[in-house]
Formats: sequence, C-alpha cells, structure tokens
Amino acid sequence: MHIHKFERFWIQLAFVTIAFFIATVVYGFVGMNLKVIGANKKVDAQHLENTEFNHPGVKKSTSGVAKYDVYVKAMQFAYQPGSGTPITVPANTKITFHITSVDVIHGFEVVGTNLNTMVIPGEVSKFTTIFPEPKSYGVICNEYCGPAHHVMQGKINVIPKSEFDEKYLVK
Amino acid sequence: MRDIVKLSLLFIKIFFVMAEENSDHSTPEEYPPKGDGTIGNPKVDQKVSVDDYKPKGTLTLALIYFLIVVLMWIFMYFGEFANHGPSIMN
Repeated sequence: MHIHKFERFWIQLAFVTIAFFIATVVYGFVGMNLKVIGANKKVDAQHLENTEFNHPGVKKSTSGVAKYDVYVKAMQFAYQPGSGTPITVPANTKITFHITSVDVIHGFEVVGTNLNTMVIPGEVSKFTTIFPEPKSYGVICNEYCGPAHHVMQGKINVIPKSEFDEKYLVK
Repeated sequence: MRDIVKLSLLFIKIFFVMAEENSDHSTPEEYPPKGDGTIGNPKVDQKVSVDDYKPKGTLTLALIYFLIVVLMWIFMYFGEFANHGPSIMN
C-alpha cells in the first residue's frame, strides 16, 4: 500500500505523541515519586475492636515506612478523628494514613492536594505523604454516602515539627 | 407573521441566486474533453503524481494541533497535577 510521505509523517507523529504521554506518566511515577493507592488490606468492618481502628488517631509508626501512622474511621457522616477533633500531624514528616469505613463507601479528599482516596467498608485505604509546611487542610467526603453527605467533612492541622509531641498521639 | 414569511422567501431567493452565480458554467464546448475523458480548465489544471502533491497547509494545521495537545498535556500533568502537592508517595 502506498502512503503519502506527509501522511506517514503525521501517523508517526501520533505514535510519538502517545509514547511521550506514557513517558511523562512513567517519569512522574519513578522520577517525581507520584504514586497511586495500591492494593488494600482487608478488615472486618463490623468488628474493628481487634484492630488499630479501635482507638483511631495519630500513632508512632511501627512499620518503618513512615514516622507516624494515622488511623481514621469514616462513618455516616463524620471522620473519627477529623470531624470532632482535627487530625494533628507534624510538617516535613512521613505520615501514613490508614482509613476505613464502618458503614458505606466514603471518600477522603484532602482539599487542594493530590491526596484523595475512596474509603470502602472492609478495606483499609493506605497512603504515605509528607506535608511540607504547617497549614490547615480541609477533608471532604467525595462519594455520596447518604442524606447528610454534603456536611461530612474533617480537618487536618499540620503543625511545625518542633511543636509536635506526645500529647497528639493516641495510645 | 406575513413579514416573516416574506423575509424567509427573500432569503431563499437570495440563496438560489448566489448558488447560480457560484456554479461552474464550464461546458464541454468551452473546455473540450481531455485525453482521459475529464473536463477542466487547461489553464488551471495540472496533473501531479501522489508524491508531488504537497498539502503544506494541512501539514501546518496538523503540526499546530499536535503542538496544542502536547502543550496542554504538559500544563495539565506537570502544572495542574504534579505541582498540586502534597501527593501520595507510597
């Protein structure tokens, strides 16, 4: 089949463009460390008493991946902690969030950032991040979870590393 | 109502007059058939092979479109997404 040279050029250009798109995403993943939520751990949503979610909050990490672990329970229509008392974490420190739901599917979106995950009953959504500077972030539920979904919100207070101490941790 | 009908008829008339003016009046008498049986103005027509035909305007347009797509992608991925931290790192 004869293909005109101009036509061959823009067919090749289309493939090069696709390769470029894929390359940027791979570069983001490897070079810029932009990860996505991976496979989740399973829990029994009806019996969270025997898990870390029995006393949710900020804890010293035992896994070694991050310095602190934050356990959050999402429920209709609040985050515990987050909605009543804000989640307080230090700036410039590796933090791993573990979030699960006790009832229906919720969302956990830290507004104005790339931190965003679904919260599924029976599964633990887990991600690690670093908040670069002291700042207050809002958290919203972005999965419709019931009649008061629109008021389901929380707060994360990022405070300077030097001000963060034992009193913000749960046992 | 009558005015609208009148106006519509006027537009239809204008359309047909313009279509008539734009139509090609070339007839076999003016431009006798060429060897291959086609009819055309010998002053304008020239035969080119497929590879001699160079649609440079189309090429320019295609390149502009590619450039827009690539620039918008760079803006969206690196500006709107990657620069929107903190991000998930593990």
